[in-house]
Amino acid sequence: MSTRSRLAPYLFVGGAAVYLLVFTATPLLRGVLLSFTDTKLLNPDGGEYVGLDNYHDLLVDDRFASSVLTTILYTACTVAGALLLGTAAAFAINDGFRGRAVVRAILTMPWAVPSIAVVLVFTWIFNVGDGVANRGLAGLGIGEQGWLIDPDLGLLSVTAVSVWKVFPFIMLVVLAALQSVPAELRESARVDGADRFTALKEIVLPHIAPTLRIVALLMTIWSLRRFEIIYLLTGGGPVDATNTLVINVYREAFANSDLGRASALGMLGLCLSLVVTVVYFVVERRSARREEL
Amino acid sequence: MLRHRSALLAAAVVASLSLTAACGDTDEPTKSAQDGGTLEIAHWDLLAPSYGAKMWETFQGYQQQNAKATLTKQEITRADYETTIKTQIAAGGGPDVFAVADTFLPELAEAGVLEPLDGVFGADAKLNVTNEGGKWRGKQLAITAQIAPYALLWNKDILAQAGVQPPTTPEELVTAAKTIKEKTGITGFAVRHRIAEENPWWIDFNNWPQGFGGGWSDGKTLTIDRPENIAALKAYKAVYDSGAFAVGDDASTFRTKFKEGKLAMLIDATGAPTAMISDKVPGTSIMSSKLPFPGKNTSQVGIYFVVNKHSKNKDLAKDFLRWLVQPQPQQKLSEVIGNASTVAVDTTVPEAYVKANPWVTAYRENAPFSHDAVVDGFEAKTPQIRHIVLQWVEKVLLQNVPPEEALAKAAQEAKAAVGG
Repeated sequence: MSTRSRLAPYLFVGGAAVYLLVFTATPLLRGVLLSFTDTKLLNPDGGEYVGLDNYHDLLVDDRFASSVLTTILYTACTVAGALLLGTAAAFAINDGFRGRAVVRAILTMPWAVPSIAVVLVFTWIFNVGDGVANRGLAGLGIGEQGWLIDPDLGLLSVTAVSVWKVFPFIMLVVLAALQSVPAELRESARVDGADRFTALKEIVLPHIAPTLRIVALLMTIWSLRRFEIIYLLTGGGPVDATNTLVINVYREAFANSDLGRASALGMLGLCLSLVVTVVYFVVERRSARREEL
Repeated sequence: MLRHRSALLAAAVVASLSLTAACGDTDEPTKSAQDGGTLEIAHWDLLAPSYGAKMWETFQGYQQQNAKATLTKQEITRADYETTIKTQIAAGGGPDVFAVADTFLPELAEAGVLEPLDGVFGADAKLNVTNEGGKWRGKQLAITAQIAPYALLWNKDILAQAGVQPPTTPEELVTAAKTIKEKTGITGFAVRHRIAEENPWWIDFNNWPQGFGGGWSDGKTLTIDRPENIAALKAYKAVYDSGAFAVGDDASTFRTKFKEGKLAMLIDATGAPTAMISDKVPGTSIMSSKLPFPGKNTSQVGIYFVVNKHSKNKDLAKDFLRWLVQPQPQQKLSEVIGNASTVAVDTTVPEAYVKANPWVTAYRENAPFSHDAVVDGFEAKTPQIRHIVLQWVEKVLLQNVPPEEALAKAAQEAKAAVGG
């Protein structure tokens, strides 16, 4: 093999590697180092080494544990909701019908709308006195609900908005997977006497399963670190009901100016994302082995 | 092969470090005011729909005195203001001159990122007493941009329709709000009450302990659970639970409701009425008075101008402020922001303006009794104390935790977090 051939792969990945080194690895390494210091935002070079103090303080703080639980709950509900809605929508628009292009465009819209606009609209929808949500409930004879101010409803409302915003992404990806199911495979199943449900279970779902797994992983990572929708709708309240790890990181870094503690929180959040990613790859490898058998 | 890999890795590291180094700034000599230059100014009020453009026009008056100066503005929304400024300063940048809230000033002062202004203003500058608030450990670090006290505002047409007199006590406030709701269907009363607006809510909420003769500290120790604060929180909870309160509305929503004639009363600072005057609610329909609490004290929105220590145009920035505190620009600034706030020097309010906007009077009367929401003795720790206290206030409002218990727990947590 010539030198040029040996170098070619490195040159191809070199640009991306430098980019990752500068914009991902360097900040990450800086974050790790900061997490062992008492650095303040307004004096970023003046922090002193405090060992594991930041981690210790966080791990003995009840609010941190509650924040982790909130993050997991929010992520699980958002991923499940978006997967169900997105997949159902993909199935609905997979078959040809009159006006399909219009329906597809309308369903894609939430993904295209900027988060700030989504938040503004939902703030009005959820307004206690004059919002559409409560007016709708009033029509059904149900009393006013504090969608964004009731601790029992805060997380539900924020999750509902998040699902509405992100489900079109899943819909588009799953739709692409559905359209790649070979027509002859469906046809032969039909000839063999398989009904719609059997064809779905034995042919379509196995075909789109890898796609569903990867969008579930992406959606999980995005949900773990989603900030703007939650912060703008509730600021982490009411009574910490929507206080996810990312909201906590923001508060520590920018309200309390405590970069050391914020970095430690960030590192613990990163560990959570890593756990999810590792679980994904384990599941993926097992299913690949099963398919090989 | 291993050698090739190491060489490539080394090249990548060198390239990344070179890129990072190239992003660093270079030192330039500081210029004098006469040399002119570009002065970047930041103030969230520059985005105020009712007077932002006029405020900017006022600042631009400086260019008539110093033709070599060019003013540029950095427009940052109120919600993102402190975060943006902190991040810029942490990176060694930021605007040359910028407005800071009194609750933010201690943190900047303690971090040493503000340029001292001692000796900048001559004896002819008639700076009023509010500028004392711009001092930190004996050094003048800021001058007053605006001190905005609070008042009770009401729509006189709605109160007349409901046959209600303006309330003067907490009990009357609850009764008036309920009566208005029952007789007109209009929401009776609104103030901030959501953690999503944490910083302004803290300043607003400070009206209650202030009006009841309380406070968050005695300068040395925290006094979060003192009896006056508990009484204030009970009154706050009573009006929240009245059934006539704008539950869930943020300030932007309840101010819009007031502007539309769909809200009868609110407690707000001086900037609010100018933004709420409309065809439906003209200035003459908006009335104001002392807060309906036992004492005369109110909270205040204190805003100061400071010069960034990282500025490359410090002399120009100081010269701009020297010009800004002259009587003419101050008078113009006062008029632009609605004549109800105190600026850096004493100004007069035109008679005709007061006639058309009677709400101005109570604000002017409340000004001497207004107090900032900074926790004395714990100035730079105010954000931590604020978050703890407001979280417990939320629990009182939403989970019916008794005010005594909530403030006792808040005091305990705050002491553990910041000492005192």
